Amino acid sequence: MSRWLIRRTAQMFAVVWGVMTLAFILAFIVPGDPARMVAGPNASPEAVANIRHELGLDQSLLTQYTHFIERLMHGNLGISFALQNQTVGSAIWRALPFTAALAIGGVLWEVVLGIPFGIISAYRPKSIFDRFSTFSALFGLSTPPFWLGLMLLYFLAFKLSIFPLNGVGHPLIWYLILPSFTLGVGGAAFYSRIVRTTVLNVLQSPFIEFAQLKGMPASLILRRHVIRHALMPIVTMIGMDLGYFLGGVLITESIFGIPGIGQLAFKSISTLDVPMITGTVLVASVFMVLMNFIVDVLYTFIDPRVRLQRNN
Amino acid sequence: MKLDSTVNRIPTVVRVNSVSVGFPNRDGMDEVVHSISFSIDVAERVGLVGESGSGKSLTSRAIMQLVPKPGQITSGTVLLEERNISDSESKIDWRGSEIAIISQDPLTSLNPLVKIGVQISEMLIHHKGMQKSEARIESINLLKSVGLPNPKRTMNQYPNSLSGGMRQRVAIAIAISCKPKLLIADEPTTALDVTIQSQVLDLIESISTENQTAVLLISHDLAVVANFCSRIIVMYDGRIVETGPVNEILNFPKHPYTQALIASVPDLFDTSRERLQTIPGSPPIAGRINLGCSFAPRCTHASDICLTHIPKLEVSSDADQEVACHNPLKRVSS
Ligand SMILES: Nc1ncnc2c1ncn2[C@@H]1O[C@H](COP(=O)(O)OP(=O)(O)OP(=O)(O)O)[C@@H](O)[C@H]1O
Ligand SMILES: [Mg+2]
Repeated sequence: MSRWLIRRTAQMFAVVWGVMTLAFILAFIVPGDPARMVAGPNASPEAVANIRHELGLDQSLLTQYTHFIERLMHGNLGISFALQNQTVGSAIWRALPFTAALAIGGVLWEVVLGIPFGIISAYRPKSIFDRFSTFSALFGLSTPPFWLGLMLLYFLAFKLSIFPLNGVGHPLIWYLILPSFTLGVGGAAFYSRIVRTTVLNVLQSPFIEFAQLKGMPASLILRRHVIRHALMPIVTMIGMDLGYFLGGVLITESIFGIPGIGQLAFKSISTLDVPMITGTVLVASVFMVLMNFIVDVLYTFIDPRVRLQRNN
Repeated sequence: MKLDSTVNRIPTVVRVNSVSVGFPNRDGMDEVVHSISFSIDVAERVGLVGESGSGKSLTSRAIMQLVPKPGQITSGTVLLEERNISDSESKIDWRGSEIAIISQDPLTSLNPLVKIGVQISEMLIHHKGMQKSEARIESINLLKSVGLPNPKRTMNQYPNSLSGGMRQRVAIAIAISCKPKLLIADEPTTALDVTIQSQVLDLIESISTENQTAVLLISHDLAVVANFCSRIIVMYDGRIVETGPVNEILNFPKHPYTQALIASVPDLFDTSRERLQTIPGSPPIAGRINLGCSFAPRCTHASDICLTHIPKLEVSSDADQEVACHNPLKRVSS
């Protein structure tokens, strides 16, 4: 187990480092001059050169990279080009709670809708409920989130004034209901399909039959013998989605005017704000890798066979 | 004191009355088990033999009132002692506790994600209303009684860390946890290697003797049944073709199929090196409508009536032996 842990940790660092390097290089490859962006279109060439020097952009790429990595080692993400005097860290720190709340909300919708639908469908295959659930899933999977988001805003917020129209406020949860739903609907549909297939499979396995022959009540069989097997794919999906959402969900954030990581990343790219670009990429990749790792660890708790393998 | 004729008779545990099992098809039902009747006495050990596909497992599952989907019990009743358990209104509190089953495949019948301890103690908690701690102690005792070397450790293990033989012992411990009146063992040893096979059978035998548990042993292996059981039921194509005491059946089979079955077993009684006889022809396709005796096409004694009328299971001249054949074999003393 410990050897597995060490190997896994090393892997995580390698991945994050690789992604960071890639982000750094990309930020320089894209056409456009960050110094000119900061100085503004009317600035004189001297002013631009001045700013370039100030930002350290006149140094060789390798030197800049070394500085960048050094700073990173100290937990310093640098100072934003575009938002002068603001550290990248503080900007991200301000945006993160919104994205985090939105991400958790989205996953909650996925879980709350997807899992029960999947289980009920599996227990009653081809029933009316199953058909309805299949149809809804198709709808959920094929609806573009921006369209769904706009529809929800138009009807529930604008026409009926049930929900706030835009932005964030108090209590935050109230402002996040529609956005998180928009974010989670596709995943919910996907979850319900996966859970249905998994549960359907489990229900056909000999140990479920044996549990029935033991005289165990259906509710106990579901709780103890069925759900545990569906847990693997569920945990995997939750982990992946959380990791992905936490890196920022641009479309949902911009439709609903939520000042999260997604918007921050988007703005930093359009202004060639190199430190902010690398900073947001770092956040996204760290979350992704971290969630991946957590899922992997959870496997060992769910399935003793995985544990056995890792111990050897 | 009661003085009627039943006073000396051993009471019956389970009585199966004209039970049929079918699978739905496009235009109705494929019946694969046809109106089977038999009964098992208290502490009796009965062997159920027959070719693969003859309906042995389905019969046993019909007793449990749980045939694999989409199969259905299409008619008949099952009585547990005096109680009709095939009545849809009756409570299913007997399943697992009064009639228990060990299935064909011990390797897959335990849930790989649930600790052995939980899989056994859930029986005691559910059926006997025990507390967790009480059930745990009892579970350890059960695991000990089926011969697991380290029951405390086994409680916290998962099926994958046990060998096939150990897993079958666990399955047996689960099945006997509530001291059932009837234990159905559906080919309990086919998945195990030979040395373990006899150990498992010995275990079932000792349990049956100790707890007065009746056993219905389903097996391909006539030799096993001969050693283990006092009575044999021979099935062919979803019907009982012959039943009676082990010695009678094996020494003086009346049904040509039984005779052929015995002849196909190597070294059941003698050790002569005669060529093994195989039964000519192939088993019929289950579910096909049959006019006459379904063994007739393969039978060397078949006459015209065999092709037109299905023989009924009838008591033959010798008490206790019943046979379903138009031309039963004569008893030849050697
Ligand atoms: N799902 C099904 N659909 C249709 N027929 C089925 C189905 N399952 C089983 N059968 C039929 O039921 C018959 C009896 O099956 P059963 O499992 O009881 O046989 P068995 O005597 O236990 O055989 P074995 O010795 O191989 O275990 C088989 O011949 C098979 O054709
Ligand atoms: Mg079988």
